[in-house]
Order: sequence, then structure tokens, then C-alpha cells
Amino acid sequence: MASTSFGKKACELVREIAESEAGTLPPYNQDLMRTIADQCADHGEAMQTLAVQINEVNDAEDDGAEDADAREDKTGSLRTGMFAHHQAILRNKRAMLVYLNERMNRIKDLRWQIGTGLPDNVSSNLSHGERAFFTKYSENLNEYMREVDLNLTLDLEPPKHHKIQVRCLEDRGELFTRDGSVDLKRNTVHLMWREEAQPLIREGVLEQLDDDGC
Amino acid sequence: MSDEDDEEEDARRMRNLNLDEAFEPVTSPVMRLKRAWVRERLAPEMMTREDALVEAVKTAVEAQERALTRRAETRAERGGGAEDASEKLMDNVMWVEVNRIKYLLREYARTRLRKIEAHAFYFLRTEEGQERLSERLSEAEQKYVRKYAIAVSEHYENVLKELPDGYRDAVKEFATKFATDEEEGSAMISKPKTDSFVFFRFREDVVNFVTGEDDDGNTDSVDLKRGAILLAKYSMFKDLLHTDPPKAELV
Repeated sequence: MASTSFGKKACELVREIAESEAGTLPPYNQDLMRTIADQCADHGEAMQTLAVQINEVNDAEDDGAEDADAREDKTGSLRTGMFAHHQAILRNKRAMLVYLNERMNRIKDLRWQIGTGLPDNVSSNLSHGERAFFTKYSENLNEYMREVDLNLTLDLEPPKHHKIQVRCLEDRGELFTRDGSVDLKRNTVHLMWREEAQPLIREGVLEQLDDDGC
Repeated sequence: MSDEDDEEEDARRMRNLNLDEAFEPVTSPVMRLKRAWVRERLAPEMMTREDALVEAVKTAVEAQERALTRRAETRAERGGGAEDASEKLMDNVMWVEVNRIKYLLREYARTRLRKIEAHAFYFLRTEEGQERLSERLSEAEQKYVRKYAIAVSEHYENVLKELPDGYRDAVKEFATKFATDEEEGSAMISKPKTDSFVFFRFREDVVNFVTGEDDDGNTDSVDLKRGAILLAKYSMFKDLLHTDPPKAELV
């Protein structure tokens, strides 16, 4: 049986996510997750072995060689062993869920802050399952927003002005807005409606200039 | 005797200072929505969705937006004049207001979604939660929480499937086919913390409000005074939040 460190690896995993800066998403630690799952399997096997031993002791009843107390002692210590392994699995599971859950919360935040498309450098830090979750979460939110007919990802901060001054950071060509069309060229400054500018600010096409300036 | 009266009068005046006039019962839908939002933010459990209110405010905002756009158009056709300048200023002020109200609408919906996500499994897997679900969530919200829970548990179970048999459930710590209801304790479902402490402000005098009962059947009660602010367990006075008009509010 491989060595089972009783939760050391799991502790490492939790520490990793706890010590990472809030709002960042470090690469998904597939190796460590794998190791912990393997350890759980080992714990599971150990439990099976112990269970078999307990049964053996109980079956030996007919021999009459041991009295009831001694048998009780023996199975008692075996049961304690089983319990320790059981708790070790629960602890590992808890640690894995803490890790997954914290990452999931950060992934959810990404949907609100960045939008439906993840940039490659973020996406590559996600596990396959996490990318699938992001897609589902995003779809579900879109569907809800369609149903209530309100884009909830706008106005994450209380608004000050209804129009904002923005500087264009890359060539985007013509954009049709409520007030007619604007030509988004690099380094030009425009006065735009908040609602129309916000998605582009998030995409990094526009940059908001000082709020008090407008 | 008259001293005591004076003291009582002073205390009453002090309490009245606590009352936020803008929060007095108002008929404006926007103010009512604002209050619903504040309540939603501060209450640990889900409140009833103010569907009619949200719709009313939304319709009003859309009408206002159309009116403002039309005014801007006619102004443009007319060409700028001296009196247009002041009208323009008025319009700007109105746009700011429209945007604030839209922010309120969005923030209200977002606050609710956050709470729904936090307690998704409570709404779907516990009896108490299911009751709350059908009585307090709108249809769209119910759909949202179902899909959300599926996405989360699929994501968890996709990883947990590597664990030994019996440990793979995303909601229960440990589950066997022998598990009975008594083992509900192993469920990892976060419930709204209705015993957490919140600030109540009372809008009306409530005499002899029953706060609890001990084992012998004796009841504890308090007299609540209008304007008083109290730090108490949410579960203690939560019923007063739901009367119409509410006898208490969260601050």
C-alpha cells in the first residue's frame, strides 16, 4: 500500500488556494488533486482490509478459543482503525471541495467582470470541468437576463453620470450608437453612453477617463 | 410626575430622530423598490420577490427614456435656442435619475441571484427550502437555481468520482445505500443563518410582542417603541418585516 499521509497533501492544496491573491486564478493543480484522490483510494482499500479482518475475528467465534472480551478488544481496535481511515477520506474530500468551491467562486466573478468570452491566458488555467462549468453558468445567466429583460452585468458600480468620456485603445472602426455612429480609432476620445461603453471597456477596447472630467 | 412625562417626551423625540423620513411609508414605486432592495441585502434569508413593483418601475423607466429621447430629437430638429439650454440641463438631471433607478433594478436582481446561488442546495434539497422556493422565488429565479445547482453538482461530482464508493456525493459527506433520514446530519448544505444579528428599526409601537417561550409555557415579551433601533437575532422580529405596511425595517 502506498504511503498515506493522512491529509498532508490535502492541507497543501487548501493552502495553495488560500494563499493565492484574491481575484486571481492560479493554474488548476491536477497533479495534487490526482494524488489526493489516489490517497483516498488507498484509505478505502485499507478500510476494506480492516473490514475483512473484523469479519474474520467475528467468524472465529465458534472456535471458542477466545472469550468474548478479547474478541471485543480486537474488533474494537480494528474499528478504530477503520474510523481513522474514514475520517481521513472525509477530510480529504472536504479539502478538495474547498479548493473547487473557492475556484468556482472566482470563475463566477469572471463571468460578471469579463463577460462570456474568457481570454486565453485565463482559460488555460482552468480544468476541463471548470471550463464546462463556466459555459453552463454563463448560459444560465444569459437565459435569466433574457427572461427578465435586463442586462445585469452592467452598472456593477453605482452610476454617476449617464455619459462617460472614454479613450479608444485600439482601432475598432465604426460603431453605431444611439447618438449616431462613432469612429473608434486608436487614441481618440469620445463621449459615450455608459451602457454602450461598458461592454467595450471590459473588452479592453476603451478606457474610461477620469469620471469627474465629464 | 411632570418630570417623568418630560423624560418620556424627550426619549420619544430622540427616537423620532432615528426615523429616516424618506423611509416612511411612501407610495412611490421607486422608493418602495429601494426599500425592498435594502431589506433584501440585509436579511439573511430570501425575501418575497416584489414582482409587480419591479415591473411597474421598469415600465416607468422605459417610458421616461422614450420621452427623453423624443425631447432630444425635437430639440435637434428645432436647432439650439436659449430656452433649450435649460431644458437640456433638466434632461441631463432626468437621465441621471433614470440611470440610478436602472442601477437599482439591476442591483436588486443581482442581490437576489447572489443569495440564490449561496443557498441553491438548501432550496432544492431540504423541505424547508423547497417551501421557501415556491413561495418567494419568481419562476425565472426557480429555473435559474435548478440549472445552477445542476452545473455545480456536475462539476463537483466530476472530480469526486475518483473517490471510493460512498464518498462521491456532492451534497452529502458520506452516503451509502443504507443511509437513512437520520444521517441527514452528513449533508453539506448551507442554510440561511436566521439567527444572525441584524439591526431592526421599528416604525410603529408594538405592545407586548412575544419573543419566546420557555419550557414551562411562560412567554417573554417586550414593548417596542416607534423609532427605536435594536440589535437582535433576525429570527426574533422577522415577522414584523412582513406586515403591510411593515412595522419594522432593517438598517
